[in-house]
Amino acid sequence: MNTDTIINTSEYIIHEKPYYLPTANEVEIFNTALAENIPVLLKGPTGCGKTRFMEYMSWYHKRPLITVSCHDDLTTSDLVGRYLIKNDSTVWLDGPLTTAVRNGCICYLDEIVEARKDTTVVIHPLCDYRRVLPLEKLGQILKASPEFCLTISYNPGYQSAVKDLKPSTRQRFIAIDFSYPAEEIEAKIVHEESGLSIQQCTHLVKLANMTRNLVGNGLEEGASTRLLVHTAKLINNGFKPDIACKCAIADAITDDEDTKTLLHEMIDTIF
Amino acid sequence: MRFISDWFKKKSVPTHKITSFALLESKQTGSCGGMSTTELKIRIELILSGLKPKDSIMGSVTQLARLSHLLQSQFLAQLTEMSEISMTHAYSMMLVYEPALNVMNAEQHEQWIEQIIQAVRSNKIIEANNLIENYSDFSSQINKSIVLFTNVSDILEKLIFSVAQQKLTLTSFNPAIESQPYTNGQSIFLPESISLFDNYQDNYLLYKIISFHLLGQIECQTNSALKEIEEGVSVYGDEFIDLFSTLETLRINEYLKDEFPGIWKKILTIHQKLNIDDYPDHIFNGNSETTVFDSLAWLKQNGVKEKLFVQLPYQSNFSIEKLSYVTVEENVRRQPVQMNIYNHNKEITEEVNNSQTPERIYFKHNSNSDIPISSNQSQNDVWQNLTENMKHHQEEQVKLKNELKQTVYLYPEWDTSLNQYRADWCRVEEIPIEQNVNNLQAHDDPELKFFESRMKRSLDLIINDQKLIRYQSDGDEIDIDAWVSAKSNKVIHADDFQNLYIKNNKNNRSIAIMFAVDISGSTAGWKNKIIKQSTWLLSRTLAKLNDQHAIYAFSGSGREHCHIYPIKKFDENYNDHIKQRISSLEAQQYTRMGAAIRHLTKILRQTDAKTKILFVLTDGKPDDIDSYRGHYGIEDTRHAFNEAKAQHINPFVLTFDQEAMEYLPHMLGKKHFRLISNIAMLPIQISTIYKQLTT
Repeated sequence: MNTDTIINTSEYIIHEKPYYLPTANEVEIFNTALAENIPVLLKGPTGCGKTRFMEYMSWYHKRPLITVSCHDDLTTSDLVGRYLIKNDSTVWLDGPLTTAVRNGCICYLDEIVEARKDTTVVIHPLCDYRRVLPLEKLGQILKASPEFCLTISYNPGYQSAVKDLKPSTRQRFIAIDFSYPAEEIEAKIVHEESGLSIQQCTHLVKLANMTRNLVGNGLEEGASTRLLVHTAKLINNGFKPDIACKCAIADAITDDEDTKTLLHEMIDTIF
Repeated sequence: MRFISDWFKKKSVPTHKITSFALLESKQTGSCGGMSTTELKIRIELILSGLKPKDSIMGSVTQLARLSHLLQSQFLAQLTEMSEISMTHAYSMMLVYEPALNVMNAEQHEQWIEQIIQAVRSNKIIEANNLIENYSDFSSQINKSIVLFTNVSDILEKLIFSVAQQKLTLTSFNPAIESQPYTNGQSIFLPESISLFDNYQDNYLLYKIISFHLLGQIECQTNSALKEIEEGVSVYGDEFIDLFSTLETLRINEYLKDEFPGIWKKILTIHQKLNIDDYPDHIFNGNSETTVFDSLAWLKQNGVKEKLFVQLPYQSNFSIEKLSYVTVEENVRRQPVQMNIYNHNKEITEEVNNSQTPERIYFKHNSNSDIPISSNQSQNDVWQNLTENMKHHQEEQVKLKNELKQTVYLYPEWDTSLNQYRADWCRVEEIPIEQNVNNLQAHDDPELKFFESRMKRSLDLIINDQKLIRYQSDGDEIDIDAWVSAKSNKVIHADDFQNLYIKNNKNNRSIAIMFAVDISGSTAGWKNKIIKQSTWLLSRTLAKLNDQHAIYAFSGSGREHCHIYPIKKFDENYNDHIKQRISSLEAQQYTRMGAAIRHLTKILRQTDAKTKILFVLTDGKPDDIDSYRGHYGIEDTRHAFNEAKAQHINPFVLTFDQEAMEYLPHMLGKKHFRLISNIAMLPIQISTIYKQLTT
């Protein structure tokens, strides 16, 4: 039996500085958490900048970032690792979490609530003072490297009863709440990301805020900053603002015809 | 001064029509019960006393009995008017009155009646007969450009809400009393209809602009200089308010130009269409950061003599009366501050006396203090009203708390005539079914075995879902058997070594289904028997599945008596009690579907399944006493289904109402219902649909 643990962590290193505009004290909080080995929970609606923040922090600390996008088929083996057959024997292959633990990377479990609850439990020993990862199939207990950091994210906007964190998981993290940035900051972000004029970006942000006010009143979630960047890029490439908004915002956030009509009205109000 | 009504009058229907037909907006409302068929019949016979109809009028009377009391009174008044001119035409009109109301909106219906009366008066008998007989063609021939408030209020209200982040109610004003749109800070009052332009789009645009202008009036705080405006009016009279109104409209335009460029573009379009060339955009010179004091300063500088040249169709009412109203509302909202003054709280009084009004003052209640007699009577009244309201509210709450047992719930109801929810309107009670053991034998009928086997066969694949799948190319575990088998094969097949894993196919079905069974009076007899059989078979078959399922029946009589009968709750397993409950199911009274859906949605929402389905089995459209029927019932049920959808619940209706195509697509969407013609096949239909919905 071989234990295949060698990975090239350099491919997980972010070399170019990602654009990130802090909106509050999230950078300082993360730095402290990292220094104190406290796992971090990022909460916020989709497209508000959680993943970008992680990329930025990874770049800032020059630590490799291993991102796992969680889904409901994600098993413990997918995270920890599994045996594979190689010729006439089996070899162990580390999963992304084990890799991060061994190599002192930042492991980012994106949308953790999408993973099955029995899978989520595997991170518990990593998230308290023990900082260990039991590898049951190997019969080992892997101690986390001092540089290892676990960060998870989820969107509390989902009202589904199944998409929630168990208190035993939740209470192992410090939480950073990511709501949408203030209007001016968000306009600046969209401007930086797309190159569209700041005035047009301000209008886009105003439209996004209008859609966010409709959450629970026909919309599950309002237009995210990411959608605004997409829209701004369309406009910057010559599309009329109303057409760009209809394609990148209205059609993207709803299929309901009545809600779409309302969104079109909003777009006509702004552009 | 030229008011907005002058603009509207140009092409719209005469205002007296609109006033009188404001009543029609309440058609088929559940808020008031109509006259009974007997009462209606007597009244109609009295009006048509000189005529001996060939056939019974009961058919028409039954139709008219479905209308609200308000609408019935309207009908009787019109019938009387018509009978004074021509008894025959009055009779003919009565026969088609209700069907005509269903194909026309209120205004069109009013026009239709008006034209019949005019034709009879002018002795154009053929034309009058044509109008009555071909009533369905009438609506398609009349002006389609008119925009009615009722048709656009919903979208405009949501639009304004999305901007203002607060609930501003949109209401239509009575043109007999008001001539211009206005706001009181909490509501926006708009015309009942707009027909200034000869196309619908532009008229709608005008509605939108007026709404945003009134929002602008609130945002730009026109009422913050009430004292100065009053002084101006006392010195210069109406001319002052005319000029001030125009100036404020221009100032609000600057605000809209900056905040809502899209609306500003629409305003320019309207200007262009109405040939408004002399718009004085130089006055505020693109400056959106102005206050009402800038308008007053302009007036002071230029004098009230100068006539401002523009007449804008979207201009709202800036009269002292309307602006003062806002102040009163504000006072009510700031009541805690006043209460502190009354309570002689020195600290707060000082703060209030300060020229700068604080943004928020926290009220510390002093229950021992008396209310002093104030010289300001209006303030005292406000205080008194507030105290009374609070007392009343507290009493209501105590009463409700006492009443609300564990099995009683209050739910809102959508009143389509008011365009808003009536809070805590329906009282839903969960009533245990009295079990009738004697009926148990009914389900041991051999004919059911056929249905059961068919049902089981159709759900077999789901029931026998495999847990561990061997010989997979990917999986959680190595399939040692597969490896040994591959290694021991004499003839080596490449494929053998690619499928060496076990996939743990944990039952990924995470489904909760709520069966809501309508047991209204109309299901009595053989329908009830089939429903019971189907429910029983379903509960037996689903017991073999891991899907969470519950079965509840619903019926009731009136909003105070919406009854829900639990047959099988989510946490119960199939047992003899459930069998007995199903056996004891009997047809009850009416179908107030909205309340039932809201309650069952609440129960279903509490399950932890990934897919949640609300499966409604019914035999007809929503119907209850107190006028919960027709448009009203359908709209409330539609809202209840939409609320369920917003909570990630998939509603589905299985109906045997052959007229369901007329209302279910609107109520639920095209893909969320199934109409079955042969009720005898219900058990098989249910299982087939169940499979389709859950796989």
